Amino acid sequence: MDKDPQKGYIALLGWSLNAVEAAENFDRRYVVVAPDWAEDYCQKHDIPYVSWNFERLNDRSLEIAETLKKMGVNVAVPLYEETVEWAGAINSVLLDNPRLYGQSLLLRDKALMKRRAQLGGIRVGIFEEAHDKGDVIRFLKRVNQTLLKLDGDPNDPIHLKAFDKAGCLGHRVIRTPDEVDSIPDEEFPVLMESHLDGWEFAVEAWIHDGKIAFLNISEYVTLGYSVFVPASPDLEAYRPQITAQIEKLIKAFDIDFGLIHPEYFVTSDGEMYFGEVAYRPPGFKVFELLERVYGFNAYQASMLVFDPKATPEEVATFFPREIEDADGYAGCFGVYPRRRVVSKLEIPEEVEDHPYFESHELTPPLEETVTKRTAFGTHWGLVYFKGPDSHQLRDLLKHQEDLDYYV
Amino acid sequence: MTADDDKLNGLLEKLDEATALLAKARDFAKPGKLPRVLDTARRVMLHPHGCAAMAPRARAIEEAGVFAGSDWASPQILVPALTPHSLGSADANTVVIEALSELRLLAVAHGEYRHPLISAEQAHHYLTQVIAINLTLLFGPATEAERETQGRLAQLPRNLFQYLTERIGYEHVIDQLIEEIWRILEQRPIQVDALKSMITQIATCQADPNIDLGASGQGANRLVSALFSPTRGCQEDPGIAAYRERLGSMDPSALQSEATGFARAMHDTGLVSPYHPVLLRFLLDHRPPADRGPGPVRYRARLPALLPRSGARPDPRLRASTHGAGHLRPGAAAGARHPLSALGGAGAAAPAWPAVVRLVPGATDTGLRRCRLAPGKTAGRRALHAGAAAGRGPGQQPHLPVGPGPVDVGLQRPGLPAADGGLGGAG
Repeated sequence: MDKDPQKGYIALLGWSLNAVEAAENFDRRYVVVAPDWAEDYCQKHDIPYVSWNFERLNDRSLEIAETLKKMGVNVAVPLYEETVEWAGAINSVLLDNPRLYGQSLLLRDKALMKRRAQLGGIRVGIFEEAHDKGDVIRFLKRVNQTLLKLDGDPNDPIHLKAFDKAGCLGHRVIRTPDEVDSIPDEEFPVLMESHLDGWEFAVEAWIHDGKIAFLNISEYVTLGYSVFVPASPDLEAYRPQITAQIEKLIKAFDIDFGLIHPEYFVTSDGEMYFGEVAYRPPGFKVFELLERVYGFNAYQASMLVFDPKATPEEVATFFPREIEDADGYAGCFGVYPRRRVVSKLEIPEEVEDHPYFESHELTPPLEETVTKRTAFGTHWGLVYFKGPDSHQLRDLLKHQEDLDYYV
Repeated sequence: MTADDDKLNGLLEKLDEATALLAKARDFAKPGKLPRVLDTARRVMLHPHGCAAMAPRARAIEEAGVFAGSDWASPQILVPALTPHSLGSADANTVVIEALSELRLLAVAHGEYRHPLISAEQAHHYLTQVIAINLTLLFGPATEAERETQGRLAQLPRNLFQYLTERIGYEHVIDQLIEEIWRILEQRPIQVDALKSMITQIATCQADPNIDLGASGQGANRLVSALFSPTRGCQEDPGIAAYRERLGSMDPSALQSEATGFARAMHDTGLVSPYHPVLLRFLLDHRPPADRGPGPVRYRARLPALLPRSGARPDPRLRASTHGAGHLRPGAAAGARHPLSALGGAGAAAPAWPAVVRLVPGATDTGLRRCRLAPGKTAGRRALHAGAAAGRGPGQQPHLPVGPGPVDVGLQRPGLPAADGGLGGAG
């Protein structure tokens, strides 16, 4: 697509083919900042590219910001959790706003983030940092003591999460002190949280000029397994409260622009509890799901709200109307093999014949023995569904957990 | 509109969407969009009418870039001999790409799509070769080996070739087809439905004035006549009702010659004409009074199968299921009116599995029924051979029922293959 030099010049931090494709089809100039393994591919396909190793941190780290500034880049958009603080650092140089770096660190550390939310008057569960196994056992006991549990009552579980990992990576549920032994020492320090009973959901909010430009609610059917957008009418009923929560969050974190992806619990009495927030595209291909139902490209949306040269009118015309403009519900299911030994991929016939089934991105198994899942592991691929009825879609996604895709 | 059509339309909608996405994608992003197109195409083509719906889209699918970067992108270098391997592959994508390539060439061959790299004549020639090489795909269900490697996917190439052959025309592969039919019939198969439908196709071709078979099609006459006009009495395929009427006006020697004609056709080909049971019934119902002794009674007791009205009653559901005369003549529907049209009636009027109903009352699966019957049939055939040999006179053909008129035919009944299908199963 023809690039408009009047509009912003955007750097994409991290390698995502879908993001590159979106940028290619957008009217803004862009450059991909990615590790050197992407170089050949970018040269071959004529993709503007700057090589950068995000894992290396040293005195020369400022170089990338200067390089981009020299090129005339206006803003950097993070595509992955690991590039969020890079984007903060680079943008503080490009936009001459040092506060952006501090903000990005806040959004990278789950313990800091919770504290900041708490300071902003947002409800969170009980949380603490743990540096060793002893901390975990103590926290588990204290939490259950607080809940007035007697000896012999089943414990309320606690959740352990890595400080700075995306989504479910490193997320464990601990119920008894024995389970603590299964945590490898190298995972510490971790964040511990009390368990919140309730309905968990995520939000993708595009923010421009400190205001919400578009707010999507993603409904989790089972955490780590399945999600669909837009949320069912039952959850959408909470939209006004959710919007109020996001506005609180924007204020608490002083967010002026960008895409935020927070997670909340709503308890049965309608109370919202803040889980965490990320300053990057969500996992589980929610961007793709949004495009399926709304037709707008969520990567382009992010580039737009990050772009300091974007006008409010342009932002307003880019986004569709929430809920009303969705032409159905799209969801996906992350497949984990259920058996210990698998030999081939076989999409269950009932799935393949289901009118909601769209496509899958599963590949045949590379090895026969399935490694045991610790924590909420990484799924083997996603299966996509789309249909007109949110309840049917939810039941369908739930049902997938009982099916064998790998036999 | 049926649920089945709904499903197909839903799939087609998804396919069009996926194709459009692929077409729109930049070259570097195409590989990411391709799996969805191939997977949806596979599901479309597994549908019985899927290939027909796919054909008009073949061009859009090629232009979207499905073949880009593969050998299929240059159709002029494709080798027909390689198609059985790609179509028999366990990898669904290989099968689907090959199938899509064939459908696109079909559009080229019919002049609906002017391809920059291959002419209509070349495409046509290529497709006839491909059909000839893959003829086995036109015959019956998947083999054990195919089911093991391909599973459900094995149906896809079958749907494809059914459609391709219909569109390209049987006349181009008729010689190979006839040869293949004879080769299979030599083995006296139990399941002959696919063979019969092929023969019906050949007969349609022969009768169609628009098709010039030239010198090809030799050897088909015996096959066609074995099914539709095995004897003088049904030479012009008059239909079951007319034939029954005709039998009434025949004298014993004419009936004898009818019986001989049927037997000969059956032994030559392994196929049984739908007229054959009509004769048998007629003979049983019109036995000369002298024969109504203990013999026939014994015979009746042994073979209630032949006598649905007095013996075991056929299951009405089964009868209904065989009424679908369509399975006898798929593909003939599109043609003009033709003597064969009587066949539909013939098929429907034939006895509906009476023997089977008695033997395996609960079974509804055709395969099972036939399996259960097979041993008895083998034994029966041996009995027939023995009986024929014993009664054979000098100069008579081997394996022909001989003796005084109709009763003997009846006595040989255990060996007659009509017990199998009623609609002309092989012996």
